[in-house]
Amino acid sequence: MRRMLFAVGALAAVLIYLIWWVTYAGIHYTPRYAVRPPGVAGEVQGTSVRLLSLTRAEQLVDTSEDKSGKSEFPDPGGVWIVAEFEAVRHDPGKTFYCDTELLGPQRRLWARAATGAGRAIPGCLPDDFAVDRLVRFEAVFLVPIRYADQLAGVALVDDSTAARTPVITPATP
Amino acid sequence: MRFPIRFPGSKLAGVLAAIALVAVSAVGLRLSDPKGTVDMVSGVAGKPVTFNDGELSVDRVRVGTVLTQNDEVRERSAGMFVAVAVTGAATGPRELSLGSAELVSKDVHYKTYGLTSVSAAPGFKTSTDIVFEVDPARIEGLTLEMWRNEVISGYQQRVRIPLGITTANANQWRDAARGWGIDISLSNSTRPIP
Repeated sequence: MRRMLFAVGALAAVLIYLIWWVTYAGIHYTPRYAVRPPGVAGEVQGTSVRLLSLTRAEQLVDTSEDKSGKSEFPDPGGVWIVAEFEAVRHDPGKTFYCDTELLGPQRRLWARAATGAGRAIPGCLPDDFAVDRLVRFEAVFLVPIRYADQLAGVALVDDSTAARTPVITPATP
Repeated sequence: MRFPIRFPGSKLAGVLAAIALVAVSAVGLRLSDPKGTVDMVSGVAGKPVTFNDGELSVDRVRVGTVLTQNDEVRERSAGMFVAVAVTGAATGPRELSLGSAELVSKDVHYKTYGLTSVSAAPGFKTSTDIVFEVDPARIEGLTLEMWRNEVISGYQQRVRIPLGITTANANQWRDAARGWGIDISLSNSTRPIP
């Protein structure tokens, strides 16, 4: 009888494990977001990141000192979205990997665009983040014009955690 | 042998545990094997096919025995190359990502020549050439199949688009390929959906 109970218990454990896994996968398959109030920093990988501005641009102008790059226009039907950030890394044991994505309506996501335009504010590089040092950086996104007025903010993506992804917005629209 | 067989308690527990483990393995294998649970979405060349993540269309089919890039011969084939120009549009909220492709002719499945994927962010469409090396003797009914790469898939859609190579015109395609080069220099472009 005891052996039978052991076998039934083992089967029950297997079933519970399967149900738990299917439920967990169902919840985490769809990314979850936590939108921060305007101007409030998001925490990711031991770093506080604040979005200073989110600007729409029809032309990406070369603002570098030596004008080494070139100005760029988006493809027809697209528009540049320029995001300016400031961040402070406060946990020496973690690295901020600069994974920022633009969040649009119905969870549409856009990754950073690669552009040839020279910019006064540099892009994000993990090596720039010394502990307790304020770093300012910029990210450029290319999005379809019809979604440019429906942006929710910038998602600070960290695939190593199941926690909700913080979405930061600028203090002034 | 006498019936009914009577297992001692310990053996019965072992048998039940073995059955449970086999069941778990079977469930895992079933979830990771897309065959049998695939929803085929068929279309025709030249017209967009709508599926879960967006649209896919076959824009052009080129055949040849040589691949060229920037005016240089990159590869020659003892058979023939088929370059299928496709456009994938992410019309929904999800990124379009078709990481797997095959050309199928009856029971023959041709893999892509080199790595190929069609991916586009939401609201964008991307055009690219997908190249296959095929046996000229077996090109009748060649059909492009594309699908999303998934480690575990409970439900998967595959897009099927016949290229228009039939038994009646197969010889014309073979003749067209002979000694002809396919330029694959500019084979990828992404732009917003108008």
